[in-house]
Amino acid sequence: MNLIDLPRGYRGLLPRTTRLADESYLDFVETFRGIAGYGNYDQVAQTGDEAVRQQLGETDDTTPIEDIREVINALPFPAAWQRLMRSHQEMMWRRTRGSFLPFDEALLDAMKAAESEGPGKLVYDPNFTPPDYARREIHLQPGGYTDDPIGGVVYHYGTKVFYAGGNDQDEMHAELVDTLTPPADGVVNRVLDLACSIGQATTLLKDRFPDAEVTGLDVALPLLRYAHYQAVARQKAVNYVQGLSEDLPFEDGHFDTILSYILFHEIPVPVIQATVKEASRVLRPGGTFCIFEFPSASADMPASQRWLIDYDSNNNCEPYSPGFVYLDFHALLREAGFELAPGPKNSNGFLQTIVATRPNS
Amino acid sequence: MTDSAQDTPAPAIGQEVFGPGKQFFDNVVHDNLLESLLELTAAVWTCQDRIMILENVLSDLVGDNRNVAELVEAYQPSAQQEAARAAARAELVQSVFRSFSRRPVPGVSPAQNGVDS
Repeated sequence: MNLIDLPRGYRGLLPRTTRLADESYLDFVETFRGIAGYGNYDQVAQTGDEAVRQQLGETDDTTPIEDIREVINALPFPAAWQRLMRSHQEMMWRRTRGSFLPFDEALLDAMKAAESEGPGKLVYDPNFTPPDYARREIHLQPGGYTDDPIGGVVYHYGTKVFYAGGNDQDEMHAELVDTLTPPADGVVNRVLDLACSIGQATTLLKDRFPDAEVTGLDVALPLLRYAHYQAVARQKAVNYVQGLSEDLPFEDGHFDTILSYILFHEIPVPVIQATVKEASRVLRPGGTFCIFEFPSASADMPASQRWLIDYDSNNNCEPYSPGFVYLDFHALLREAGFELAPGPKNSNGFLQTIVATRPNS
Repeated sequence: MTDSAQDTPAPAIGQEVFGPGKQFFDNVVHDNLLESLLELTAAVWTCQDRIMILENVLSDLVGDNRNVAELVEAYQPSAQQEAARAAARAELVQSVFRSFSRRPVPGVSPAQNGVDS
């Protein structure tokens, strides 16, 4: 099976937009994001922290976020920054989806045809309905992860822009997989990519552990269909399963290692709690749970970082991220029986990395 | 397999990016101006990018190691072409800066406001 014949083909792993004008437009958005978005944030933070100090004095993670928001949002530069961040994010999704939508039937046909092909499998229950909490337009993506049938390709190109060109060929996912910490005994027979999305890390896990059974699980069928279609086209022997992280369809102690990349800030606190317990259950003694995630709040977290997370939650459709950030995530992991160690350093300095090991009993 | 439960009931797609959006300034005009600036710059880049690619395509077609961008730079328009360019340029300036002539800044001459009425 070949990749679908899009008008402008592919650039390596990445489908090209279907019109040059879309690529140019989105290249602009991507460049803008890098320079004016990420590039200006330090100045926003500096301005914001200074204003907070002047008006509220010293703050910590117990200072009401409403007070911090009121101070920083009143400043012209942060207001403009928020305006431009929101607008360019909207531009990104509108144009990306608009580029691929005229080819939706061909894309859906190709993904459907791939379902009966291997080497790996796609497993889902046609009667499964995603829970309401998952059906949000996270990051403003039209239809979110669950409700746009072509959401997989839209997510692939949209996040290419989101990562400002740094993940065009899955470079960032390669870093996650390369730095993943396997169990101390070195035995890796089964690997789970928890909330695998479009499978960018899943296939790379198979490359790293070629003799292991590698499974990607996600709640979103549009993403899994695209992941499976890509895996079939590239003959990657990985399995994809639709399911819930809080109710994993696997036996106790099934996996040797689990990767989770930016899952926990996208689910509500009760689901976080259940997911941690499930991860502990399906991991075998000595297995490792490798977590790359948003930061957890601490007393020395700058007011500007708390403001950024608040902005992102309210204006970039991240409804659950504050719930995660202000949760004592490390304590939760320990309560579930994990032993914690700092994870590998990641080039995205915003993320925290944790290696949670299930002790040998 | 069927899609019966997976595809229904779907919420309206694109409520975030096609809905009323967000306001960050007390005066929403500031929000609108900045968003317009972004779209305008994206449109300018899209045209510029196409021109650059067009020049490359034409150079390949012309062959003989002739660079179309250099040919364009060296091109000497006729008087008629110059007049047409000037008219088009004036039309663009008038349309972009029309608001300054409709609502001139008090105490500033029309020329300084950007448009001779």
